[in-house]
Amino acid sequence: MLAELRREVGILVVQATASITRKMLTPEDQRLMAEETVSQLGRAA
Amino acid sequence: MPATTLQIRRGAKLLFRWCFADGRLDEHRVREAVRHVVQSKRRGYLAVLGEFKRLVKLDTAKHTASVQSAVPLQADLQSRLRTNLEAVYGARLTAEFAEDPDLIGGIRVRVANDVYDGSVKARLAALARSFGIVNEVAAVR
Repeated sequence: MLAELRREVGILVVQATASITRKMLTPEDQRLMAEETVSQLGRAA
Repeated sequence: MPATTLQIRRGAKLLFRWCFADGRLDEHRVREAVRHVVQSKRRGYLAVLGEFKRLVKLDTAKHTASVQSAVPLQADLQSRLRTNLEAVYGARLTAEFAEDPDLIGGIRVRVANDVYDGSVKARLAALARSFGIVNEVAAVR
């Protein structure tokens, strides 16, 4: 029962986070996130 | 008598090597090679072409970076990304950019089997896994 509850909560958390994040991300946030991956690649070089 | 697997592989490899010019696969040569093999209709030519196609596909994948971003990637970031990718994978790399709103935020870069995933979708998938949710993709959407 606890495992089931954990699963249900998990689904709700992930869905809510996805929905809120989708609405909250600004163009500046998008750029910062993209830059993070670009820099990660730069460090790998 | 059909050609052996070894003969097929050897034939395809020879053909594949012939298609290189200045250290890179030359599209014109690839077309020329296929035309030549089809016209010759030698024993096992279809199998040779199948193996040849596999080698070309592998080489293309190795030198193509597929970049997906949640929103269009600015020109300066595309340029920096290209520079960094070339530093890791060599100057022969071609970058293909595409938008994928499903990522929610960030970018995902794939070169052959290497994946650099800085997307929100990937982070949410990790969060879902921490909750023991098996079908995390369904939960993310």
